Amino acid sequence: MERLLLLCCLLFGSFAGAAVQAQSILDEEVRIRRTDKTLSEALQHLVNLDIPLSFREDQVTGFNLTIDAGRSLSLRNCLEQLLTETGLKYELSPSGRRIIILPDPELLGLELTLYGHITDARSGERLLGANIYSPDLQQGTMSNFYGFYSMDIRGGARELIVSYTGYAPFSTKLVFDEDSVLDIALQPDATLPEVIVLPVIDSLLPVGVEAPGDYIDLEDVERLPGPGGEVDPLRNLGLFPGITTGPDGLGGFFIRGSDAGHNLVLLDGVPVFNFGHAAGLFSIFNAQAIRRVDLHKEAIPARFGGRLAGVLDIHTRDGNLYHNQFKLGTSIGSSRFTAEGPLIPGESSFLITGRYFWGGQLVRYFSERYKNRRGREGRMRYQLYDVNFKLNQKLGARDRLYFSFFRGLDDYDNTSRHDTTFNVINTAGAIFRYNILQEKRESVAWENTLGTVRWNHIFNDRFFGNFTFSLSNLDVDAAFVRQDSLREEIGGAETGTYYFETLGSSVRQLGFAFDGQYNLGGNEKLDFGLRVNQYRFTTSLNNEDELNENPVGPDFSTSTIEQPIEIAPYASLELRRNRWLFSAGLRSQLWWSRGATNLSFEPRLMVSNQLSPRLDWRLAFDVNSQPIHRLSSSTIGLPTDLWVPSRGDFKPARSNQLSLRGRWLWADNWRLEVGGYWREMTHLLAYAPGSERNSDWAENVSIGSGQAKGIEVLIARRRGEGRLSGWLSYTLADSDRTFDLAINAGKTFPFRYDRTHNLGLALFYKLSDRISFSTSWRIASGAAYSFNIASFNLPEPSEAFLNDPDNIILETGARNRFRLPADHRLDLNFHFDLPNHNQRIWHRFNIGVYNAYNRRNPLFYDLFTDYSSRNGALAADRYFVQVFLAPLIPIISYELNLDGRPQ
Amino acid sequence: MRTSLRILALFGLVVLLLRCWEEIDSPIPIPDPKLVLISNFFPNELVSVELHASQSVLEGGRPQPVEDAEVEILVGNQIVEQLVFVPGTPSRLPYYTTQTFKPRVGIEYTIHAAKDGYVPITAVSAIPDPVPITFFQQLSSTSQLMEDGTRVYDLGIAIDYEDPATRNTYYHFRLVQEVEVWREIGNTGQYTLDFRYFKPVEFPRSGPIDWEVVLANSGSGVLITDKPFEGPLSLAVSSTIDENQHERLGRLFAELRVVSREYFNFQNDIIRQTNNNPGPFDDDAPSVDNNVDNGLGVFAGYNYARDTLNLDI
Repeated sequence: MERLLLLCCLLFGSFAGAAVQAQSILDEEVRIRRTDKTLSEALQHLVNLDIPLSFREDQVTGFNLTIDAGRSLSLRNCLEQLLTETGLKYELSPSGRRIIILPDPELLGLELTLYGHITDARSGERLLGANIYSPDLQQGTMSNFYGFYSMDIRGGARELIVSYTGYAPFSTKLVFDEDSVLDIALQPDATLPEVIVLPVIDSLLPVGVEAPGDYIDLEDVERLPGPGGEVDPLRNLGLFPGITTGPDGLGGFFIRGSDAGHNLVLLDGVPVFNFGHAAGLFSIFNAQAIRRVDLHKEAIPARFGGRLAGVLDIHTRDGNLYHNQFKLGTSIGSSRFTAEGPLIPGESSFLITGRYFWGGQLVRYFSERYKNRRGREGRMRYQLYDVNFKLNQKLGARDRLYFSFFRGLDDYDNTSRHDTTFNVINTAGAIFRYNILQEKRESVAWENTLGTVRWNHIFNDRFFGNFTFSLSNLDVDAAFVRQDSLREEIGGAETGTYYFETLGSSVRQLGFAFDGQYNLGGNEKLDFGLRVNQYRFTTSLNNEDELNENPVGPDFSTSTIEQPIEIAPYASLELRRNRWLFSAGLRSQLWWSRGATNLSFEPRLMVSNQLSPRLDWRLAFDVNSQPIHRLSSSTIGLPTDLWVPSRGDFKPARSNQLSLRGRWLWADNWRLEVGGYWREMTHLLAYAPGSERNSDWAENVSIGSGQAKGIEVLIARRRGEGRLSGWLSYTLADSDRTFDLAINAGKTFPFRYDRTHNLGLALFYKLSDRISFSTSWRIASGAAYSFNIASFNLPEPSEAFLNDPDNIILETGARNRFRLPADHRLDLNFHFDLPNHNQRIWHRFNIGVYNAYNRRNPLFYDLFTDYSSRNGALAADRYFVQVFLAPLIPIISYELNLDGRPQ
Repeated sequence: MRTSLRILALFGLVVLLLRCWEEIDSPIPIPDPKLVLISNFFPNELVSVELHASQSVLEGGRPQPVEDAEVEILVGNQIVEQLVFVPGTPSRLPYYTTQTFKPRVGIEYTIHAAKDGYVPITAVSAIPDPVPITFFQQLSSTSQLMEDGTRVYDLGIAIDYEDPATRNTYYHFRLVQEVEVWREIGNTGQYTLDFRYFKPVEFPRSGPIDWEVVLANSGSGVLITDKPFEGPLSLAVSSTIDENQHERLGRLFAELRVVSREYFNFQNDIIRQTNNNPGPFDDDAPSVDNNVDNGLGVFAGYNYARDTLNLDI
């Protein structure tokens, strides 16, 4: 008993002693030095004073000191002040001899929401697809296409890292004790010192924190202009794996063995039906108006639909919210301007850009002289312009209104007439006099008009919505007249060809859309929405082939008008669990045309896993349905291709794609991506060659299918602290088509742009902060094509043995049996950013060479005929010509920026 | 500097927009000439074969007939007869023909042709069973005299045939209009029949047929598979005569050819190729299906049924 009493006394005594000792510690007078700037430094100072403090360094870093340093305080008061708004608290150890600083457990238990906008600090532009990431929670999210984000976050002190390509990463540590709004403004890295330390460069972002598509870096675009120096956001698309183009970009781009008409090209959410200027030599998108370009080849978000292959999602800039800015620029042949600025600073802004192709005037002059020198009459004329206009207005803290408008026009015509007479003296001395008339007139004009009104609304901290009303319209008018006749003037016998064709088409889409994003919490996100579109298709085609001395293409009068309606709801659920990301989406599409309805469902599934901070993989399955079809009637893909709707037996085209991709970040900024895909396409429509095209298009098409498969490799170095950046891509691909008997007798044939090998290299080398050198080289297997290889005589088709010498039948062989030579080209460019003395005015130059070694990549081959007198008889000499687009062309462009260095 | 830039700019423009084609050597291998054989044969008639050589796309003019070739017709491996050469006339190309042999329905025939300098060719075909026309009637008739003296008759006709439901049958359906040309006897106001001629009747571009299965349409008729309509087919067709030339409308002939698959594919492709436009808005010329091994052309049997309509106009 005595021992027990003694033990109790000892225990009580020690507790009491510890309590007294602790009280005495907390009552000790301490003083924080004025040199201590952070909480970490202040606590270390206390430790140095032999205060028995325990804390985790990583939990106390990142807080600036708010205490009035230099004044003497009790340790209790000092700690209370130091730990204010840090999410930390102090406790005495059980022994009472140490003071432990640890996260406030009450805050740690809070499940909170953080939301807000991520913007450009200099212009107020909202940043699309910026990453916001909490390293200690290992979770993050991405701003949507309006710069809005919403993420789950646990209470307490949390470090946040916000990053966006081309901007200085932003890092902060904040204490969260309630749902919070955090608007973050990032500094463009052009305003930063040359050497930047990036916090997130040695690991991939966690799955789900990145956009599923590929981001087209507009700075790279600026450094690799197209022919003449025209900067084109889509110029480099063919350098990415899985994408190929026609020679010099003609005919659009082809994603993974699909047609150009299978791509959904969106400008501020509005589909663009023809995005090419100059038949595709460059796009209608003015780089000065573009904020961001995303390309989706796989794992396509459910909000996108209506096309089979991929999505090119282009967003225009809003205009500077704080300062007026003005830019002027010119390249060989065209000039452009940009004006932007606030209407009410910080509240509303405008942006207007325009381009005009002044080279058209020179083309007219030089073409006339050129043709005269070749003994022909005629000239070429080209008019081209485009204009972008955008307004945006904040409507309180939760709403914002946008209005954007685009119009672009191409108007081209080319005439050529060659009229000559010559004599042939035969061996008997008789004179035969022949007249040759070769005349060509061609004209093509197309005009895009796009308009959209969008209203963003933040319903609450988890729910963001956007309402869109849109218009997209494409009008095309084209005519082609060709005469090649040989007339014997005395006898009057006449042979040759005369042909004219006129084409008119118009496609208009009026649309309403709602896109909602709901943060369900627990790392779950729901995207949902609805699209309602009303289309109007007008097509007209007329042709004739009677010989005529003075051919004039008659007006076409017959046309078909169709007005289908599309209703497409969608929903997509995204779950993130540890290192796994699952996404399941479903888009349905109700298509109503001519009284018939077609309902289709498009599931989108994706699973991704991060094996390590430097290694991840992704598997995706995409089903896409396309209710409108682009009928390409030419071999090279002209703007005259017709858009037609599904109806009756012509169901929407459909594709299933399975794709797998792995990524490895093997060194700072170096990345290796290897992927593969398999795609099948059904209900494809194509012109049945030889159909009588004067009537309804639906009577002249074939239905078919296609398949594509390939392996893609990308080695890339991101722009960072090094001087060198760029990428090397390689694609091994195979794609073919099978149609009904009307095309290639129903046998499978290669897709025209089935390029087995496709290699692209883009390198950017920073010579200094203001000068860089860029080069790109691409080489791809030649496109497949058909050509007549022989001919034979066949009398009247159903009645053999009649003597009809004109019925020459061509032997073309299997479709696309030949291959053009490999398509390759090297472009070189020096890029200069030069300021004036106070750096307010900047001059930007591009000087380089497009197609440096003057490679003539053929568009197609043709046969020409020359007539002459030879050995007393009329002789016709036929020879091949190679038609190509762009030989060696200088790159020269200049841009004047009146408000600081351009981004 | 400014002058230099301007010159450079203009150079770029001119190069870009004007120098867009150049003469080149042939980008494709030019094939050696092949034998081209064309023969449509039917029951109980001598077999005629036209034979000539194909020519490369660089050659102009008319392909030349091939003479002194060995042309044989076989059943299985058994030579049935060697064809003889018949020189051409101003109205007919030279050809080869059997002298006694006449093919029959349902037997598979092989034609073989060889000539020095060419790869020998072979083709196989058979004559299908005929399909009778079961109904051929005039439904209506109206006419209109045009300003130029021509008269246009709009005729409504109905026709039916007994398509065998058990197999795929290929048809080449044709309508032929007889036109009588009368001549005045002196200045008596009396006319006598001078001669008759025949011209194909063009089929309507749209109408009761499901045109998606009408694979071709030309002045020579339409190609149809099986029977793409219920009951008799009603058609509105037009025939034109020139009253200035004292023409009168004669009989209307219907010919329903039951053709072999080779015939059908060849004619279908020929018509498609003929219709194909050379303009820039158009695709490549379609290829022509060809059942001649190592060569070009067609060797195809067909059968037929005919009916005649005396028009009530």
